[in-house]
Amino acid sequence: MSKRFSQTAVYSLLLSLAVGLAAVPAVAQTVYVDGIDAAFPPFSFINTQGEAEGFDVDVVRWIGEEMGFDIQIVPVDWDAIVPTLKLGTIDLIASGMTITQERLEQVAFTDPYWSIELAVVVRQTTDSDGEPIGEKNLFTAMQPGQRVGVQRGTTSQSWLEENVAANGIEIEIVLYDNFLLALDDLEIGRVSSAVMDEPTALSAIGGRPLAVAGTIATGEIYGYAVRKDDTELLSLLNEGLRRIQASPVWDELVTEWLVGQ
Amino acid sequence: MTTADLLTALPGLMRGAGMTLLIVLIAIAGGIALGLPLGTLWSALPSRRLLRSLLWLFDRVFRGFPALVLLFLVYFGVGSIPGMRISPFAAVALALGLRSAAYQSQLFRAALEMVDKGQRDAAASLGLSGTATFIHILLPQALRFSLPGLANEYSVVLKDSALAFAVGVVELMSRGKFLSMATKDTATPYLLIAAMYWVLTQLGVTFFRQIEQRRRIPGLGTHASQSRANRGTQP
Amino acid sequence: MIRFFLDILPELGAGLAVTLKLIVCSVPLGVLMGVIVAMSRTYGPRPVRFLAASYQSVFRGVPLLVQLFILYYTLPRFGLLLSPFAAAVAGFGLCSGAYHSEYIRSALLSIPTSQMEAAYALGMKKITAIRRVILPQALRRSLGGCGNEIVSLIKYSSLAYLVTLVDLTGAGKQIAYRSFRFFETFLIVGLIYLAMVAVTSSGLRALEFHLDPEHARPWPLARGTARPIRRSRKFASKEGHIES
Repeated sequence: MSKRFSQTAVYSLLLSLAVGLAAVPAVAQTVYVDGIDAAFPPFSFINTQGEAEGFDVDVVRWIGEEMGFDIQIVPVDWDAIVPTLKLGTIDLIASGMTITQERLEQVAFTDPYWSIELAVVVRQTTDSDGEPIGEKNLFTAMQPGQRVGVQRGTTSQSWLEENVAANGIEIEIVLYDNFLLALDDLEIGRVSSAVMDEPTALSAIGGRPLAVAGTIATGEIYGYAVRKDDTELLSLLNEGLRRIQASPVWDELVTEWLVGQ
Repeated sequence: MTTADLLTALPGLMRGAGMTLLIVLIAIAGGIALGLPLGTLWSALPSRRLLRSLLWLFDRVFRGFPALVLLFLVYFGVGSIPGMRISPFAAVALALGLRSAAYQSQLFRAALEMVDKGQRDAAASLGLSGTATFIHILLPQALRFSLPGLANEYSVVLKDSALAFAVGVVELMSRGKFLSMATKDTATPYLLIAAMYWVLTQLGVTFFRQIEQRRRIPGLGTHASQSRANRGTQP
Repeated sequence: MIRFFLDILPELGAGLAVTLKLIVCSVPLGVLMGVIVAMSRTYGPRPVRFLAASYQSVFRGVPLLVQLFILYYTLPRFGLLLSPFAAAVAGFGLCSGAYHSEYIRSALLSIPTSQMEAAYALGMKKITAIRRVILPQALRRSLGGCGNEIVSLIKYSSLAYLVTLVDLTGAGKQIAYRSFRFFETFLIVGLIYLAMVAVTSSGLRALEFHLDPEHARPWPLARGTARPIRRSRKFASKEGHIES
């Protein structure tokens, strides 16, 4: 028994040591950790094999190769992503992140690299000719009492809060962990529409009875986010962006991911 | 979701399951490492006011706060202390480990008190020192009494581990979510994950039952099966 | 910090209201399921017993989070559409029901067979005997464990935000991410849960003490203090219990 006791003691000690070591951050300068939204096609998502894929994933990997650093991509719960960046668990966010005033107070962004609009997605029905059309249009989707699904912590959420709810139109904004869950619920029927970034909408509604009812021109621009004091990484990313946009790789990636959904 | 999808997804899911098991293992081991001394302390020092109040506070916080809130508190709370960095995995292990320690301290305390008083007297009459009595006589019996409670703890921690993605740890549940979104299928992945968790639970239950069988002392079983510490933990 | 607390109070209050609603609806469902399943498993015919045991195995072996997702996102594919609130209540009720059923079942088994025999001797049918003699005693004995489970439910109601309900934890999360004051926000949220847990715990233990002094845990001492049973003279039983 005393042998087992000391065995247990040694194992507990080793395990506590392991926990302690796990808490020590990896300070290898050449590896940057990129936090992504795991379900934000076409910019970043986890595919069936569990690997990260997407436009931003490819761009950041290319920049890493070009500028000489390694990239480790980790999925993060989206509404925690800025705190996660500030905490140091990740070093950059390359995941279709819109540059906003609010976010600029917390993090630093690279130069903008893409612009998008928001899209309102609704269920698809057929009209009198048997043609598929959206169940609602932009106007009917934003009526008082309608349930609109968005992802928590996104510009879609703030747009709805500031421009619809704040103007007295009492829609019910339903918050999801990510847009794809909102689309699932849209298909199921619990919400009458979902608002999200247009590329995501186009990418995600393929093969489902959903349609884009219209777009909201918010003039949003995407940038990569880093910690405010991380000027080194910021300049690396900006330089990398300049280079990739000057090379044919950019057009290839754009065609592959962002055009002709 | 096609069978092909399923096959390609399996490795990822297994990695998730591995991470889940790792979390559970470390949390429970940590729980034992901390809970056993605490439980012993509590049962051995019933009269030390300050110590008891501290233990009571620890117990209250880690058993009174929801696991999710504990996770957030540890990850963001520790992380927002200037100069401190904690990885999500460490935060999960710490939060769940401390929580488990709080439960296990109760478990071990009750288990120790369940050992027949006559054992202590017999040990004293044989001239065994306090420590020797503890290590050779009390602890082995107490550990046997606490096995059902430990099996329960395994099950509880396994289920709490599903919350880990809230602070960024990619374990089985999050793998399932990713898969569901990658395949646009809201049925198969979740059902699959449920089945996998069920299997993991059964593995644990069987494991503990095996240990119980192997370490069983005939005649000691009747008490254990009716003990209050193990109330509701019997299969 | 006090100023901060006052600022977020309304938002937290709204979340708390949702949490309370959830708890109030889920607890009875859980206890009901517990009684049904425990009875099925103890007194039912073979197939019913098997179903009850499977229910217990599934709902205790699968994380609540997964159960919620399945109830919310998967069931609609099979035709059953639940609102977020309904899905949450169903999830909490079914899951806690599985645990309740275990406590009630062991309580049912701990009632001495002499009770049943005495009931038969008085001419009662099996159903009547169960309903009027066994079950009340069992329910009293299971108060400890079931009370435990009810307290647990208060804590794991915090998962409701995953099916789009903004409960106390959901509200806390939003506040924390907005204000970046994580430690304070989650501490306050945690303390509110703790308060609910403490109040419920005390209340349940008082109930336990009043209804079943023989088996009640000592009160109001710290939870789980293992002390010898204080036998209330009023309810002294004649049978020998093997208590440790």
